[in-house]
Formats: sequence, structure tokens, C-alpha cells
Amino acid sequence: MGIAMSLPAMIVLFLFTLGPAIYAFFLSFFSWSLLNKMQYVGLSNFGFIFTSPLFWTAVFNTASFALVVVPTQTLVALGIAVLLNQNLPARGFLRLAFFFPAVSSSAVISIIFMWIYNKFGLLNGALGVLGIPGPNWLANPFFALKAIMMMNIWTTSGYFMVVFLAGLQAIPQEIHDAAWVDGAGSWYRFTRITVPLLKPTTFFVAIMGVIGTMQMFDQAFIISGGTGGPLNSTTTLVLLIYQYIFSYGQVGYGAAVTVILFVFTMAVTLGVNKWLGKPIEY
Amino acid sequence: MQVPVHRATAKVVALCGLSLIVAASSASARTVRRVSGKPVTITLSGWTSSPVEAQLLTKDIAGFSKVYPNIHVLYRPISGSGSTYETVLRTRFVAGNAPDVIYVNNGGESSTFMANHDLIPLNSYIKSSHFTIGDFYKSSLSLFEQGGKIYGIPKDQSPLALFYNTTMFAKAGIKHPPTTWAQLVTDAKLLTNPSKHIYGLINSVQEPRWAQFLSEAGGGVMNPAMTKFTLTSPASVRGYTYFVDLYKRGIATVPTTVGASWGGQAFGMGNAAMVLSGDWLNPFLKQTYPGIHYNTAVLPKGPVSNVSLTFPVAYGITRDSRNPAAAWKLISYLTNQQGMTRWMNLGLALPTRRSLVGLPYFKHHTYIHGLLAQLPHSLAWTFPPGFVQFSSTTMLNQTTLAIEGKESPLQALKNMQSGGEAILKSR
Repeated sequence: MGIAMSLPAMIVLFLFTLGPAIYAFFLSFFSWSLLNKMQYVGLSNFGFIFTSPLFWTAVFNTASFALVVVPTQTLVALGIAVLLNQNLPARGFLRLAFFFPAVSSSAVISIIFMWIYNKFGLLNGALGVLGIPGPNWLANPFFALKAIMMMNIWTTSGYFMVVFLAGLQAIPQEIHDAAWVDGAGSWYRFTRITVPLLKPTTFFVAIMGVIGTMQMFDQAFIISGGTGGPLNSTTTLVLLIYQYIFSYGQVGYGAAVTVILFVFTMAVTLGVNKWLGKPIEY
Repeated sequence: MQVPVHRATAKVVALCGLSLIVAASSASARTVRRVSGKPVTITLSGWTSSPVEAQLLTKDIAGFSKVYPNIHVLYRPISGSGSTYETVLRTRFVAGNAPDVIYVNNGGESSTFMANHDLIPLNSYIKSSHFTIGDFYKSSLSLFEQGGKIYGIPKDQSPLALFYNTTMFAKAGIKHPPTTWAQLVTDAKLLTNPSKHIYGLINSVQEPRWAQFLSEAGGGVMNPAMTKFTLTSPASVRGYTYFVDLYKRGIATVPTTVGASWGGQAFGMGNAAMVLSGDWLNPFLKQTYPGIHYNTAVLPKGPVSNVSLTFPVAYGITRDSRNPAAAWKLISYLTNQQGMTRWMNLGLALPTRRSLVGLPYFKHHTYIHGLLAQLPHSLAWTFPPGFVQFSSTTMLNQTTLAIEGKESPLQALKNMQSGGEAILKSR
């Protein structure tokens, strides 16, 4: 009976998630342009990928993206959540305002940010008022990925703020009260009670953040017009997979990168799990 | 018509619309009946340079239904530029349900589609219907020919010509558009005013915006037989260096410098005194920047010639078509003498038939004259299969490094040359 009840979900899962994932592993051993006949090539796709400078550029971009975005968005989300957990005026409105980007389409957000980041856009206008000459954000290889990082942090922090809010409200008030009676200040209570007891939430936020950033595609695709430019500075691993499979007709290379990305993500997730995933002991 | 430069914005729109369109087109039930005399349905897909193109084509197809009441045509445009369109098309080929009639692009994947026999040869149809194929410009037709077989009938084209802002020229006291490379430099210098964000020439630096400089110097990207790259020949180096120097001197720049996404937009915004563009810029300026005063002229002459690139677009029939005969009737209707005349009178592009260059429509629209005059001095070419990444990324990146002075023009050409040769060898 149990199996029968979960069968529809399992079928969907297999057809649209597990099946394609297994198929990607299969494809990584073949040379195929989508239009011609598949040809078994063994491990040569992996050989090509590991010696391709473009792949390592994509690894570097994706890794630096994750390393900057995950800690920043976690800290920002935690900070906002703690602030909005107080009895502030207009708390509901502020929560909504911070959460709003999370429910907006990332395509729309990317287009709005392209205007903000324009050479003569809002951001450079604001910097100009302060007397700082703003760079050409999206056309400059040094700034393009950083611009996407800022946008991504802005977009995702709101979502994780809500997660942290839920976590904060699950912390029993009497622990705080007891510490307060013992004379613990608010900073002391935050670092010794709130942060440790939030560990399961932080674990969730970190894992979701890592997976999300390693799969970043849409924002880079839209902002670079699908090219990963300028000078490959916004080529992420998933954008590279898309380009190989759909733009360049080299399905095998794309599938090989997919497999490598899977291994990376798995390894990082296991690492984070080891670090943050232990059960809390009171 | 192609809008090669307008890709960034087009892709954004494409991404938003992609899922919708894929869903819509696969849902379009094609009730195909083979029995002759009975009604059949064929699908026509292309990209659209602007909503205007879709409207006009819909109108033209309505006329076809009156002549052939038994052939029902479903027009299903795919939004996005040429390259996004081809990405969608590729997936349709994999699924085995490509539209009957498609736009065949002048670059990108067209050579792959021909080589893979995703398009069917049209020679027998041309012969049996006495279609006047001899009237077509050889340069545009040859782009859709492989091994003596014709895979596409060029429906229209546009060469790159020089668009210049007549107000700015008058203000700077320049009476005529530049006719030589040296004059282009002098004029651009006079017109450039970086403090006002005005530059002599604004164009992005992908290969279809600089390859003509190589040809004008007597060189080229590849040899005519396409068996090797000729990027490092002395003539090619000369043409490329001239192009790169325009940017290094600060009298030309890329669109993003002035906050535009493509050269045509920079021109419309009044930041560019000149831009190299095709006819697709005319409807864009009319709609978006009607206040701009401009004219067109042939390209300035280099050491050897003033040859330009031209971008023909063809209609082809896919291997998935179950009614190639009906599909041919549609292509023939749209591209025969009368069909192309109708299309030309809508003012979107230039003809691929030599006999139509003198149409009254062109005489009355002076801003087309420069483009028309350029037409006989233009060449159409595309890479062999397997060069999409090379042409869209490698060449763009190397040229970006060159104009920023991070690499000498010669070094950029050498890198492109070795990259291209490596792909040729691996094929």
C-alpha cells in the first residue's frame, strides 16, 4: 500500500530527475552532436575537459562565486533575521520587502540589474554623487562576476532570512531568560545561545547555498547574453554545460562537465555535512 | 533579415519566451494528410528581427492561402536572434518534429544542418517548377549550396554599409561620408568627443563586424575553398590592425562604453557618429529613435577594395517535413519574382534577386541607397561545421584583448589562426 501511494511521485522522480541524471552519466562516454549518430569514446571526453583551459576558468568562476556568495548571504540573512525578530515598527512590511526578491523571476531581476549596472545606470549614478567614478560593471571582466555576486546575494538573502527567522523562533525563550538572569549581555547571548542553537538552520542554509551557487546559470546567461563574457569571466560550470550541449553541439563534453559538477557538489556537501551536520547537544 | 548585433537583448527576450514557445510549437498539432488534393498543413518557423517582421509575414502568408486553399500554413516564429533560434531548432530536429519550412541563417549552424542532411536538396523542385534560380546573386545562393545541391532559397539579405549621422557630420563641417580608410580615421577623429560620450564609430567587435576589413586589404579569414585559415597573411594582418587601431586611438569604441547593448542602439542614442550595420537598423531607428537624422553610404575603400559582408537568409525544407511538395509551393510563392517584390515593398531587407535592385520602393527611400550600392561589392560566407564556439567566443575574446591593448593585433590573429587550424585538423 505504501509503495502504491508513493508510486506516482516515484515515477515522476525517475522520469524527470533520476532518469536524466543517469542518462547524463551515460552520455559522458559518447561523442554526439544531437544531430548525428552517437559514438562511444570511452573517457576521452573527460580527458578533453580536464585539459581545457575554459573548463578550469569555469571551475575558478564557480568556486569563487560560491566562496563569496555563500558566507556573505548566510551572514546577511542571519543579520536581517535577528533584526527583524525584534519588536521593530513595520516589521511585517520589512520582512515582506526582504523576501520579495526570492519570489521574483530571476530573469526579470537580471534585466533590472542590467539597467542598474549600465555604464550610466543607477549604481554608477549613485557612486558619481559620492565622487567615485563607477566602472563599466558588466563589460569589464574584473567586475562582471562580482556584479552578479552582489545581485545574487541580494536575491537569495531574503529567502534564507525567512529560514533563519523560523529557526530563531524555534529557540526556547527560557534559555535566553535564564542567561539574562545570570547576567549575560545581548552579544554574549547571541554568540553563545542563538548561533549554536541555530546550527541545524545554518547547516540547511549553507547546503542550499552551496548547491544553488554551484548551479548558477540563469543570471550569468542573461547578463552575458549566453556567451559567458566578457572574456569568459562569467562562464560558470552550468553555463558551460549549456553551451557545450545546446550551443556548440558537443553533448559528450557537456555531460562530462555535468558528471564532474555532480562529484564536486557531492564532495562539498559531504564536507559541510561533516562540519555542521552533527546533532546539537544542549 | 538578420540582427547579428542585437543578440544580448534578443537572448533575454528569448529566454523568457523560450519555454512558452517550445510548449506552444510542440502542441501545434500538425494534421498532415498525404493524399494529394486533400488539405494539408505545413509549419513555417523563423526568428523575427522585430514584431513588424512577424506581422508582415503573416500578411504575406494570408495571400498564399488564397492562391492555394488546400495548403494551410501555420506560421510559428521562434523568438530570439539567429543563434538562439538555432538552439531551439536543434532540439526540434532531435525530437523529429522540426517545422516544414525554416529560415536558414547565414552563419552559425547552417553549414551543419546542410552537412547532416537536416535540410533536403531543392534542385528537383527548382527544376520541375521552372523556378528562375539564375536571377539570384551567386554570392547569396552559394551560401546555401553544398556539393552542387541547393538547400535554401535566399529570401532577402543585407550587406554591412556605413550609417552616418548627418547632423553630426554637418556640425563638424564634413560634407561627404568617408570614402577611404584614411578619411574614415580623419572624420572619426573630428567627430569623437569622449567628454560628451560621442565616438566616431561604435561597433561591437565580433568577427562579422571586422572580417570585411581583412577582405578590403586583400586578405580574409579563410581561403575560398575553406581548407585553411588565412588570418596571419600580410594582407589580413594589415586589415585587422587598421580595425584594432581605430579602437586603440579612441576614435571607435564598443557599445557598452556608452551604455548601449549594440552599435545600432548607440547610433540611435546619438553617441555614435557612424556605425557599420545592415538594413535591419532602418526599421529599428524608425521605431525607436525617429528623431535621428542619418544616411547610408558604401564602406570606405581599403588598400584593395571596399568589399563588405552580406547576410542573406534563406528558406529551407527540413527532413522532417511530410509535405515537401506543399512546402516548396510556399517557398516558391514567397521568393519568386512577384513574391520577393511584395516582400521588398514592405521595406525590411534587400533583394537576393538581381532583377529587383531597381524597384521603385528603393528609389523613394534614400537611406537605402548606400546599402543598395554596397550590394554588388559584398561577399557572403560562413564557417564550415564545428566553428560555432570558435566564431562566437574565441574570435570575440581575442579581438577584445587586442582593442584593449592587452595583446598585439598580430598576436590575436596568431591565436585565432592556431585555434581555427586545430579545429580544422580535428574534424
